[in-house]
Order: sequence, then structure tokens, then C-alpha cells
Amino acid sequence: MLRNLWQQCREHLNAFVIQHNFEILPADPYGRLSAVLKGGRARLLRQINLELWNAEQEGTGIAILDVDQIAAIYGKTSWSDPVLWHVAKQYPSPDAIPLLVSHQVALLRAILGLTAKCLVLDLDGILWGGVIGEDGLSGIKLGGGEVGDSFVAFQHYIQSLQRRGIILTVCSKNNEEDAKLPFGSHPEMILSLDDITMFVANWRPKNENLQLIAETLNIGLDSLVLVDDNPAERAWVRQQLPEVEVPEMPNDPAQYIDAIDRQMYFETLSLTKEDRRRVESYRENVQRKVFETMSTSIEDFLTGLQMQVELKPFDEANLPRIAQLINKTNQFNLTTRRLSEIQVRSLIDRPGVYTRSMRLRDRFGDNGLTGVLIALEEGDRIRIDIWLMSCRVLGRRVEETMLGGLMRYARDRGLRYVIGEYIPTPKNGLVSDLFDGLGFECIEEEPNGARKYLWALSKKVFMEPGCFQLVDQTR
Amino acid sequence: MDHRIREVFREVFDNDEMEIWDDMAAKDVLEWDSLAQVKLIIGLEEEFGIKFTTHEVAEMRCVGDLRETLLRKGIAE
Repeated sequence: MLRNLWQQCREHLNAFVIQHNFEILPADPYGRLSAVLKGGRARLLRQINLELWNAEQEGTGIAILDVDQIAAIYGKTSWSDPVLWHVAKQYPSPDAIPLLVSHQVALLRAILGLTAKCLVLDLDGILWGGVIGEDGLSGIKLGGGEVGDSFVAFQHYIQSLQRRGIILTVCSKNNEEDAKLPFGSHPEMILSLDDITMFVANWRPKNENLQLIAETLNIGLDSLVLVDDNPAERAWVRQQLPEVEVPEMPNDPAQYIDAIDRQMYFETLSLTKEDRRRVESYRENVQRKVFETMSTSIEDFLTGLQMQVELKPFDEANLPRIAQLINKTNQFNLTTRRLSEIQVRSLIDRPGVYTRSMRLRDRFGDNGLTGVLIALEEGDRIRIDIWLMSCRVLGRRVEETMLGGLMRYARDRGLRYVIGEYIPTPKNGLVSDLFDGLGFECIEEEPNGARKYLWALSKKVFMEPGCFQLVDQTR
Repeated sequence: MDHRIREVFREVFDNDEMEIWDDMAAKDVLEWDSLAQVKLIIGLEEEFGIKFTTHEVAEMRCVGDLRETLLRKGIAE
């Protein structure tokens, strides 16, 4: 019956459904038998709750709010107030409502994709007791006792977050050498440098470093959670960067896990391969960014990336990703024409239609399928109908390689002209002068800013940039 | 005590000018529905640091009854 209701909500209201599960009440005339006996109330409710979790797994646009667990966390004896129930039908008791709401909000954040993505860790007093720069390896508290053990437990918790797909970064006021010493040298250290996507150890103000981390990882400040034991630092960051989450930390490291966990920063609806992959792909991005700042010129940077471009006609295997790009890309998109997956499929192997998907690899990793070009033969000319690129790979001159592929094709087919079109939208100002910059001649302009361009193959030869290794798979 | 009771009413009904009197009851206030009733009970319990029993709530018919109940529970005039 519940499934029916959920379906009605989704179909008629187009709404995501949050379903509360059932609290197993503390008071029961059958006592423990309520759970032992097949028909016992507690047992039945537990089975229903289990079925609710199973239903969520089916991926049907619902999420379960675990009221039973929340009530347990609060304390079931005070969760419900029988007087208020009888006089006002009020449940749970008003004092319990803030906790219920905070769990509800955490679930809403998960549904809306607003959960935090990255933990920014201080070192001294957070990953170990003491100060590494002064106490040295043997002086810091990590393992081997009550205090040391609680830091080890905290590191285990943090490492599990990382395994789940949460990015770990370090932001510490320390010399880099001192800061890195325990990683790899201290026998009780749980976290390794491999677990840390970005390691920032310097004497600059923390807000500057947080901004650097956000920029390098290309995530918003509101995706960061700063864990710092220094109340002055916490206050400073809260004031300077209000979007960053800065939890209050208790004095006792044994309570650190609870302090972070209770905030529910990282609740999600599901765990996918992409989540686990995320940490790896962020690490690759950091390496690219570091390499960029180290290169002395753009040319050096591009050549040093050792980029490999693969151009391939559309095929069935790449169809979903191609369709996704066609429908989602807004900035580097010359004509913003949208096609359904069925329409894209109809272009495969169609005579008179030139299709290419572009995959970019560099020395740091695979950027994936990030470019699409569709051109239509019209008599002695070929017109670029759709040309777009993912913003992930802007600024690498890859678009020139894509164009080069088309130019070669047009020449081989004996065509005389390549036509380009620019149709302006509020989002694609980035490419308004692209054809001009590439050497095309503007032959038509409308009052709304739409332009048509021409490239005469007999008069001009298109020069592709030399920093690419090209793999052109033409059939 | 009266001004404290009045403050709770003013807060629940979002009316800074609201006045209360001894035989005032739900029938006298348009917006006094069951939700307002819950808010009043919770608001009064919070203001005076007390908990009403089921019996007490059931017997309260007007503000005058409320005053008497509070006095009986040891709240000062």
C-alpha cells in the first residue's frame, strides 16, 4: 500500500518521497517476547522497517528517515510524552524535535546533492596529540596509551570516510617536512600520504589555504569541513569564510569521532563506483594544477601534459555519454542544439553525416569522453551542426585538434568549404569569437548575434597544434 | 503571573496587542485551533517550567481555569 502511495506522489506531484520508518516502542506488554515471537509487535515492526530499507535500495525515488534510530539516539523514554499525546496528539516531545529536524535536514542535503565533499584536517591535536615540530616523532601522542589510542581511533574513522569517497586534505601551520614525518614513519599512524589528496603545510592564514584547496580541487567552499582543535582558528575561519563548515571540537580527543559524526556532513543516498573513483580523479586534478603552476609557459605546460586525443565516430558504446554531453553542455557549445539519445543513434554510420567523439588522456590520467562534433554534408560544403566540449578540458587547444579531424575528412571527400555556425545563448559567450580566432571568415550576421562562417579549403590549410598525439579512428 | 500568561498567548497568536481575560476560551479567538492549542500547552509549560497532567489539561476550559491550575502548581502571583 505504501508503494502505491509513493508512486502516486511521484507521478502526480513529481516529488521525491521521504518516508519515516516506525519506532519500536519501549513499552510493550509482551516485554522481550515482542521481538522473540513470530507475531510479536516489535518483530513485525522490525520486519516492516527492513522492507522499507529494501524498497529504498530499489532506487524508486524514495529515501527512508530512520526515526527508530533517531529516537534511540535521543533516548526512547523521553522521545515520546504520553501526556502530550493524549492532550494534544503531539509526537515526539518538543525537546526531541531539534534532533529529528537535524536528521531530516541531513537527508534533504543528501537528496539535493548538497553534502560536503572534503575534510580539511589540521594535524597537531587532531591526528595526534602534541606538536610534531616541537615534540618530534617520539614525543607526539599516537597509540600506546589512553590519549594516544583515541587519536588512532579518530584516524580509523577518517580513513573510513576516505574509503567511502570523501576527499581528505591537510591544512597545517607547520614546516612541510615536520608535518609529513609521522605519515610513513610513526608505527601507529593509520593514515598514509596516499590517503591525502592535497597536503598544505605552511605558515599562511588558514582562510587563504582553504581557498587554495577549494580552487585546486575545483569544489565550492561550502563543500569543505575544517577540523581544527584551536578555537581561535575556528573562529577566524568562521568569520572569514562563512560557507566553510567548522564544527566545534571538544577538548577530549576521545569525543572527536562523535563531534564530527553527529553533524552528519556526509550523508548520501547511495554509494557508487563514481564515489570511490572520485578521490582518485581529484588527486589527478591536483597533480595537473600543481604541474600547471610549475610550467614556465603555456606551450611548456601543454607539451608537458603529454596529451593524447582519440577521435572516434559515434558508436553504440559511447552513445549515453555523447547524448549526455549534447544535452548538458552549455558553455563551450557553438549551436546548443539538443538531441535525444534516439536521434543521436540515428546518426551512427549515416551517409553524409560526419560524427566524432573526442577522448582526452594526459600524463595524469584519463579525462574521459569530453568533446562532440557533428557535421552535415550539403553539396560541396560540410556544415558543423553541433560542436561542444566539456568545460573540464578548456584551455588545452583540444578544439583545434577536433577541427583538424574535420578538415582532413573534408579534404579527403573533395569538398570545397567548411561552414561554421555560432548561435548565441546566455551561457556560451565563451565561444562567440571562436571561429574568428581559428581563421574562419564571417559571411553572415543576424541582429540577434547569430553568425555564419566560411573556410575555403583551397585557399587555406588548417594548422593543428603540435602538442597532441592523435589517434584518429576513422572507419 | 498574568503578564507571563499573556506573553505566551501573544507569541502563539503572533499578536502584540492581544488581551486575555478570565473566561476567555477557544470560542473567543478565531485562530485558536488544535495547532494553537498544542503551542499554548507547550509554550506555557516552557514559560513556567512545569508539566501539565492529562487531567489538568482536560479540566481547563478557560484562562481562569489555567490561572487556578498554575497557582495550585505553586506558581507565584
